[in-house]
Formats: sequence, structure tokens, C-alpha cells
Amino acid sequence: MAFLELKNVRIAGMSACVPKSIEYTKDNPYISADYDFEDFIEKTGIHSRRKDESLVTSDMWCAAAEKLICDLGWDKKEIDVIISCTQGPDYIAPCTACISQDRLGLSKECYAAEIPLGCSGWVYGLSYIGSLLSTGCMKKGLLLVGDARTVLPTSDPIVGFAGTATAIEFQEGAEGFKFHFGTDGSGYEAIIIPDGGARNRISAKSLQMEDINGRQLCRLQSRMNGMDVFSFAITTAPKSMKKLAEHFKLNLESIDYCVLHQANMQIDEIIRNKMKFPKEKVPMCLPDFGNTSSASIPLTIVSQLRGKVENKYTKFLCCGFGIGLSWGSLAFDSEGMVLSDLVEI
Amino acid sequence: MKKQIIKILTELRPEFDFSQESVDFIEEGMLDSFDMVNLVNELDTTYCISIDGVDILPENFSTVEAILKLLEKNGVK
Repeated sequence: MAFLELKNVRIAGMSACVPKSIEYTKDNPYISADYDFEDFIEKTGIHSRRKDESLVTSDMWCAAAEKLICDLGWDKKEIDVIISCTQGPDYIAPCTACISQDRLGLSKECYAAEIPLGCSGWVYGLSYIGSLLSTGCMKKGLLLVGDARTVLPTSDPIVGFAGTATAIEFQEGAEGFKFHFGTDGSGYEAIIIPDGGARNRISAKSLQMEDINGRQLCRLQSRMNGMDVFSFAITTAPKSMKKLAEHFKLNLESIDYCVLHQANMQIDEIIRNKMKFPKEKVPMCLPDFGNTSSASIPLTIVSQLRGKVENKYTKFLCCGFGIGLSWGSLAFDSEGMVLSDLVEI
Repeated sequence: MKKQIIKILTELRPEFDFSQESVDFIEEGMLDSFDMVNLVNELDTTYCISIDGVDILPENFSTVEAILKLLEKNGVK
């Protein structure tokens, strides 16, 4: 059973960065032959998103990290670890975690590694960095997650650009994090970029456009089997959160906020109903920022809960689910967590 | 209940006639995956049920009869 409990670590703060440039769904002219923006908004709940094709992933999460480090009053020399998670790295290689160590001016005595997960990535990333810090040998770390959404056509009104930073620190006696994880690799084709890896190397064919459910995509862009993803999401996310609650004897009624990956308004609404949480306990940033992949949970906390949770003891339940297929649920309590102003670049 | 299902489907996609019995809604492209998400949400709310993800299969939404059977499986009479 993939449960994990990490003691003696806490989230010290979170920040998020998005492009200044706002694209409204109603202004998006065309994604497929039968595209109707009103219909799209009704189906997905996405009114606008942030997009700037000149930005790369580390531009956004480094700006978020700089703001957070400043707000926390951390000394950069004290940061021992960076774990990053993205599916839109600055380069195929090297990993963006190493580039970010230098961009942020952190010590060379720094552990840096990257996870190529998608929408479950923040939860998995927190388990990595929490595991490293919970022993107390390393004391402070940054989890950097997000995407400059290069793997989808940037005209796609579902996806938004975002980069986030989560600051984690060792603290003797801290309640820590409780996790449940799951994976179903048999569904790897449900969301996939077919070409560019070793299985299907890049060729001239990779650049040819194909009709995928009415959308023109090349084989270097992500495509999705919507029905499979929908079925997966509404099945696994509630089950995972309920398993987590049962295993660690958490009272779901005592949860202050349930923060879900911002997949699609209707999918999240079905999950919320299955969990029987009232709307006010399930904040959403999807209408303003679209689906921001691994950044969606921290972006929701920063953009929707700033001013509501910093000065009081708050119980969080979070669930990320998506490409892999991969999912993870997390419970943590916060007190005195710093949430920085949203950074726009 | 059949009328209610047709009404829900028509509200989702008013351009199609869902009362035709011999038509497969999925094969004919009358419902896409976004519509399915909305339809399940609407059925859950209307009938106070919680359709399981394992039942989100095209064949369970291909006709009004199939949707009726799915609702019956979820205890709707």
C-alpha cells in the first residue's frame, strides 16, 4: 500500500508566478472546426488563462522563488535542496532543477533533481523533498513546479502557463505530511506525446499534423483520450483521498480546504460531490488560469487562499491526478504559512 | 424518466435530436468527452446518485436505453 508519513517537516510558504498576458477564452478564435467559445466555457469553466510564449518554465518558478525567499527572509546559502517537477523543461537536457540552482544563486552545496510528472507532480515532489528534509541533515528546500505549456498548441484554451515555489523546512516535532499514492501505467496512452523519445524518435513524420478528435496536432504535442481521463479522474481521486483519510484516521469533516488539481470545472465538481465537501471548502483557480498542470494546486492555494489561512491553524487535503496515469493525495496542517502575492512577469 | 434523459441531453447539445432510437450518440459524434463530463454531473445532480468512473464507458451513454440502464444500476427507479 503506497502510504507515506513524513514527520518533522513543514511548509514554510508558497508563491506562484504567471505571465502578465491574459488570454480570454472568448477571444480565442479557433481550435477546431466545431469550436464554440460559449460552449467551451460552459463545459470547462475556463474563462481566461495566462500565456506568454517568450517565457520558459524556469523564468516563472525562479521569479516565484525569489519572491518567496524574500518574504520568508531566508538566506539563500541555507537552501540545501531543490526538487523540481515539470513536463515543459527549459531544455531536453540538462534538467531545469540544475539551471535553477544557478539562476537563483544558491550554494553549489545543493541537492538538485527533477521529476517529469504532470498533474500529480506537486504531491509527488513534496514527498521527495519532505523525505530528504525529514531526517534533519538538510534543513531547507524549495519545490519548484510548473510549466510553460510547450507540449500543447499554445492556442489551446485549456492550458495556462504558471510556475510555483513551495518552501519546506525541517522543524523538530512538526506534524509533517501524510500521503497516498497510486499509478496505473496501463493507461499511459491516455495522455501522451507519441514522438521524441526513444520509442518513436523524431522524424519528418513527427511534424505532420494529424486530426485528433477534431484538433490538428503533431506527434510532438500532447494528445488525450478524454473519456479515459475523465473515467480515471472521477474514480481515482475520491478513492485516493478516502483511502488516505481511512489509513491515517483523518476526519474529513475537519478539513478546512480540499485543493484539487484544476483539471476541468465539471470533473472537479463531480469529485467534490463524491467527497461531499461544500463548495466553499474546494477553492478553484481554473476559471482565471486554466489547467496549469503540476502548478495547479499551489497556484490555487496562493491565488485563492491568500489572506485566509496564514494566521490560523488550517487543515489541507490535496489531490493531484493525471498523466501516467498517476495520482497522489496529501494531508497537511499549516500555521504561520507565508503566501506571497501573485507574481506577474 | 426517458423524457427527462432526452431533456438533459438536448440541453447539452440542442443541435441534435436525441429521441431517435436507432442512433448511437457516441459513434455519431453527438456527445464528446466534454459532454460526457457534463452529462454525468447532470445525472448525478438530478437523480442524487454518484456514477462510478468504471461505468464511464461509451456503451453506457450511446443511447437513451443505455443511460436508463445505467441509472437503474445506480438505484434510480
